[in-house]
Amino acid sequence: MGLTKSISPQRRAVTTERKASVLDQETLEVSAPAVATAPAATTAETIAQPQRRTAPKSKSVEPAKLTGDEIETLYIEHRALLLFVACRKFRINDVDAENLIQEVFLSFLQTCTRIDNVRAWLVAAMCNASRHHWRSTGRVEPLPDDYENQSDPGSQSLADRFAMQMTVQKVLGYMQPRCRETLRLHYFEGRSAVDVAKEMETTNRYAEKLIHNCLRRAREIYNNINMVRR
Amino acid sequence: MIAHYDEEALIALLDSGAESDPHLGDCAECRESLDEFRTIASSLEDCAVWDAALINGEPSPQTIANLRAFADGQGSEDDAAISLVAELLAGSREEWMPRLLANNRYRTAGVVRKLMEASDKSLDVMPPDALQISALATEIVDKLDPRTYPSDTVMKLRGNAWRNRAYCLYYLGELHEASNAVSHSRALLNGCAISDHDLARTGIVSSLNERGLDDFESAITCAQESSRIFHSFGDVERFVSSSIAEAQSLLKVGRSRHALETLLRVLPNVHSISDDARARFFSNVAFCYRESGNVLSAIETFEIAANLFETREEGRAETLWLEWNVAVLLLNAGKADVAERRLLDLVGRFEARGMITEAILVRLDLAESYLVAGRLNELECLCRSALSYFSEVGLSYTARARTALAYLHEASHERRLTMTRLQHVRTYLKRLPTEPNLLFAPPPH
Repeated sequence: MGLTKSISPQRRAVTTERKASVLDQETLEVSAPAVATAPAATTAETIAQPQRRTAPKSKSVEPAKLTGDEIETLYIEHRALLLFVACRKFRINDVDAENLIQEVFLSFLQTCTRIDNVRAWLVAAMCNASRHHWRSTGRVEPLPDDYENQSDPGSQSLADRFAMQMTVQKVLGYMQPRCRETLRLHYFEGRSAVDVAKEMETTNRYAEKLIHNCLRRAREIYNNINMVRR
Repeated sequence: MIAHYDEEALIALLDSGAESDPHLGDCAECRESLDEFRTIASSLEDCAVWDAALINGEPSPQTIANLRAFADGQGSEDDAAISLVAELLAGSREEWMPRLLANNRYRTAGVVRKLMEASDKSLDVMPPDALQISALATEIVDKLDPRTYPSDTVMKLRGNAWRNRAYCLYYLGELHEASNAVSHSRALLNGCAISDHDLARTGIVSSLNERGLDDFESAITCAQESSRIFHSFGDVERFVSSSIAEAQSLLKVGRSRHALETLLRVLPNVHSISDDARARFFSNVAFCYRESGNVLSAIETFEIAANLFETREEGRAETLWLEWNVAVLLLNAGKADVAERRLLDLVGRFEARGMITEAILVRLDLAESYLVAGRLNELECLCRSALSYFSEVGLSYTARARTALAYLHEASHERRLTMTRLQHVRTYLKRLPTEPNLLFAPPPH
């Protein structure tokens, strides 16, 4: 008969700590939620539920168990986004960025635990690699203006944000030059409709309409791109 | 049928910056459309989207070939490591290190990876074995030539093997040695190009260890930093676990409300974690509620955690402990009838699992309730049954425990049992399993 630990309700916190501690370190299989989380209702009022629409979650994998074909598929699927992060957000040249992608994937493949959200993991690792690249090159080039934002691993849904920006970049590629220019003036340069009207030699009212129509068109193309992806 | 805002109206709302609109409050579809406009507009403010140069769309065949070659090499090495590790770990743990030192064929990165897996598995079953396995892993990886593997493979593996060792040391209570191992792991990982996630894992071990060393502020900082990184990597399970670690340190310094806030902040994430992790999360939330004085929420959350543990065979003992918490909370809340029924049920269930000390301590909770209510006959009967149960089960410290219970029985029989005496016996019985040589002395009059 085994000797059981002396644990009273007052001391249980310690034991649970221990268990939770083990959990911190251990890899746990992630299963689909089997039990309704009723306390969410109890405490829901204290928590603001996220309203933001996010991109579909990427699947979970065990990198060490991936076949060569699966690795190639993942690389092809995520390469453009990772290049976007390195080249556009960290201003790393294409050749170095490709090398960093390889480093990111090598690091990914060495991960012995299950990765729940591959895209988020890869993007965060790409930011990590890019920051390291900047440090190791001694910052001989000018840093991006928003370098600090890219460096902050706590930035909310970094992968979603970068994926969104990459898609919007594509959207702009599909737009008419006049429409693109209107959006650039208004949203990027922060010019008012009156300024836009002056720049485009038109009336204020028409400029306003143009801004609205162009944003509508941008959303339409954005949805079409996403539909094709799905 | 609900009328929706048209796009013109949504863009006008976006331009006006209005956050509250009665229709948007009720209409998810319009809210989603507005969010989409907002996200696109916000992306248009970023210079990256205006860079006309398109990303090179062609994947690099060289990268693909390199990744395939690496995965193949790693897979083959791991396959070969399975039998090598089985061979290395044969016999008693005293034989393992000499066997490793006598033969170089165990010295591969694959063997290190498999040893780390084996150490993780052993930790709950035989912690000293886990520690020795972690020593084998660090012995191998420290002497691997980094040039024989691509990129940072060896350095990162070293950092992770030392983190694994640090955790084993922490688990076995070797806190100062664990601190040194954590520092070594950090130093190795800091030298790698991509190591944020690995450093966050080391940060969690550090947080647990610092808490053990009573450096709670440092423990909190480490856990917070790890949480941030796990969150950015989309590692929800570890994000929740590091938040639990943070909350536990906050509890230790008496900041129970802050601890509760920390856990409630991560609540939206717990739907995607495993049942076991979710059960532990809710049991910690329940502790925070209890420490914050919110008895009703504590009871409710303890019961949810208990139900989650109940679904897992290995979690059944946890269920009993959590139910015990609920019963004691009910007792303290003045619901003696319900609490006593639950405690009586728990006595039987603890006994059935052979959890002797718990079975006795639950009886003492019942005794307290009877004493408060002045039900002295029932109290005496309970003390007699506790004494008789303890005498039946043979334990190394039975004689001493029996002395304490005999004292309790006698005091109840003579109607001179007081709450102070009851607490004295309870404290003694709690200490006994870890201090089997402790002698029982009746409390001073």
